[in-house]
Amino acid sequence: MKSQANTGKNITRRIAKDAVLLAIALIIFIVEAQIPFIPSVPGIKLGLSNVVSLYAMYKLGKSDTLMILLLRILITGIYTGQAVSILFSLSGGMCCFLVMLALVRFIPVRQAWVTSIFAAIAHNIGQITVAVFILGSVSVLLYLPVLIVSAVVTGAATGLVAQGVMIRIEKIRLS
Amino acid sequence: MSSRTFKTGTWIIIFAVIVAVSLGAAVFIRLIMKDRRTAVITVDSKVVRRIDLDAPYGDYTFTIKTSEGYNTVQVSDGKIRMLDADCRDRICVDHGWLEDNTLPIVCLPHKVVISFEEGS
Repeated sequence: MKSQANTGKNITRRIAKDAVLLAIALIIFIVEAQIPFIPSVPGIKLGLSNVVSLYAMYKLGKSDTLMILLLRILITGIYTGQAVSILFSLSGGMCCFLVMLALVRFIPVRQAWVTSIFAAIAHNIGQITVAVFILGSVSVLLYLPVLIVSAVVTGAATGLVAQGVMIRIEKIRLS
Repeated sequence: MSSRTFKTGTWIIIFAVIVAVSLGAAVFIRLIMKDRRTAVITVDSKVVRRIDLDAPYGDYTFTIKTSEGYNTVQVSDGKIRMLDADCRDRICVDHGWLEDNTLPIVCLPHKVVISFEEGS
């Protein structure tokens, strides 16, 4: 990501990379939607798409990450067919993005799982904030501790996956 | 790579503390919510009255008047029921006592619903 000249080749390469990551994120989303994950507790899910966001954040930079994130939310929103779900993912995604943006400078790739956990917590806080407004009741906030616990667990899981991917890709120098 | 913030072990402790505090809060909230059961009475989807069924002031009855007629509600010993109503089918009265979050009492002709508040 060092000051690359924005030649046509680089832009093409960047677009291709972003598109591949977006496609991966969408596939992860669709596959994940088929896995029931503690169905009795609403709002808890593994959030494997976070792997893609983390990878993009560490390897491609903030604007690429934001683009992938927003497009993913838009397309998955269309896929699920609910406007409300876009609202939820958007607030969750933006909180997640901002926290990643802040932490990515301090936390190295080898500790990406830490970033991931904080991002997951931020994601859930963002979602619950929207839930408070949509449902018009503050009592949803009582659900926050459960969501934080789940965020620590799922964030660590997805973070470790992302970390493993990044370290291995560094070794084989594909990118 | 040199700007490593904390050691991995430190992070694990930090997250363990976060999880422990959250779990504690979750259990605490659950206990509190279990203790306070709140019944909500709505007329035509508008909340007209909230009743704390675990309040210590015993038995009482009150009457809700709607444009369709009246419904008399009785609260007793942490339970609630429709004591009387001048609706035509009186299904709400036949429903009996409501004490947990099962089927709400519904008086369809008067659009009166007694249900439990979510989370209780």
